[in-house]
Amino acid sequence: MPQWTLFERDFRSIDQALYELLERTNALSVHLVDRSGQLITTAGRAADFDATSFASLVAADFTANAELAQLMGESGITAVVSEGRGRAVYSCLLADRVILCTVFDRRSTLGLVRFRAMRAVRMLDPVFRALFDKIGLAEPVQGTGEFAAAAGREVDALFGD
Amino acid sequence: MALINHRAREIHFKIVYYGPGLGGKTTNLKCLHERLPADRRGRLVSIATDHERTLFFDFLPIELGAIQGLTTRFHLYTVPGQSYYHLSRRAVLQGVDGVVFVVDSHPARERANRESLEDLSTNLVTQGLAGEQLARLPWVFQYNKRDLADALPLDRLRLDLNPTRQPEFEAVAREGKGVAETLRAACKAVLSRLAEPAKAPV
Repeated sequence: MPQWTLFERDFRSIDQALYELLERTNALSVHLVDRSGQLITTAGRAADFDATSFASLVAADFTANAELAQLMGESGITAVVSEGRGRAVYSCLLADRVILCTVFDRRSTLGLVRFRAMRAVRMLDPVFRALFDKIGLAEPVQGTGEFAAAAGREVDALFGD
Repeated sequence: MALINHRAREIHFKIVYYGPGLGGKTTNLKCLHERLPADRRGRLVSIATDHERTLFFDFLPIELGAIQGLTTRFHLYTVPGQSYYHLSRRAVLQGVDGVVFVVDSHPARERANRESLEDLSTNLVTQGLAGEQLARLPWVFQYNKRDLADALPLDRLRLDLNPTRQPEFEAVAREGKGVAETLRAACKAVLSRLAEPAKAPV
C-alpha cells in the first residue's frame, strides 16, 4: 500500500487554518482525522480524552452517517453534529478523506462553528488535495527498508520471540 | 493506508480482522488486550449489542514504541460478521493496510467462511483496491476453533479459502493459541510492504 507522508512544512498552512478556527469560534479543540481513523493533528486542549479512540470513533461515525445518507438517496454528507450536554462535536469533510472536527461547549454556537469550519475547509481542501496527488507517485522514503526491519524486530520482541 | 506524520514523529498502520459472524474476531482482540503490556496497548473500544455481538467494530491500538525516531502504532479493527452488516464492514475497511481473515473451523460454517471472503473481496474493490494494489495487500489467514472435535480438515479449508497460500495459522483464540502469531505475521507483512516501491493507483 502506498503511504501518505506529512512533513513539517505541510503543517504551516494547516496550523494557520486550525488555530484561526479555534480562536474565531472559541472552541475547545480542533482535530484533523483521516477517514481510516488516524489522528493527523490537533489544535487546542484535548488532554482530557483519549485522542486515539476519539479519532477512530469520529471516522466511524462520519462514514456510518455517509452510508445512512446514501440509503436515503443522498449522494453523501458534508457534516455530522454530535450534541452532548456539555460539549458538542461538529465534523465536516475536506478533500474527500480528511475530517475536520471542532469540539466546543456553550461558549460557542453551532452556527458560528459551522460558518467558520466552512472557511477552514476552503483553506485546507487544496492543501490536502495537493498532498494526496503525490500518493503513489513517490518512491519509498529513504531508509524505510531499515525502518521496516527494525520494526519487525520490535514486533518479534513484543510477541515473544 | 499508512500515515507517516513527521511532526508527531508517528507512523500508523491499520489492520482489519475480517471473517464470518461468531468466528472469533473479537476474541482475538480481547486476548491481545489482556496479554499485551499496558504500556503497549490502548483502550479496547467495542461497539457491540446488548448480547456482546459486534454491532459496528472493535478497536485496539497497539504501540511498538519509537523506532528510528518514529513512534509506531498498529490500529486493529474487527468488523461485524453477520451478513446484514455489509455497509458497516465496508466503512471499517476504509484505509486498510492489512487483513487478518479469521476462518471458523466449525463444519456448519463452511459456507459462511466462503461468503465472508467473497464479501471482503467485493468490499476491497469498492475501496478502490483493484488489480496490483489488491494483490499487494497483505493478508493473513487464521484457522480458528481448531480444538473442535469435528473441525473441518485444514487442507480442505486451505484449498477452499487460501489457494494462493498467504501466511496462515491455526488457532484457538479463546485460549489465546495462535493469536499473537497471527498478528505478528500481519504486522510484519504490512511493514514489508512499506519498503516496496509504490505504484500509481490503477
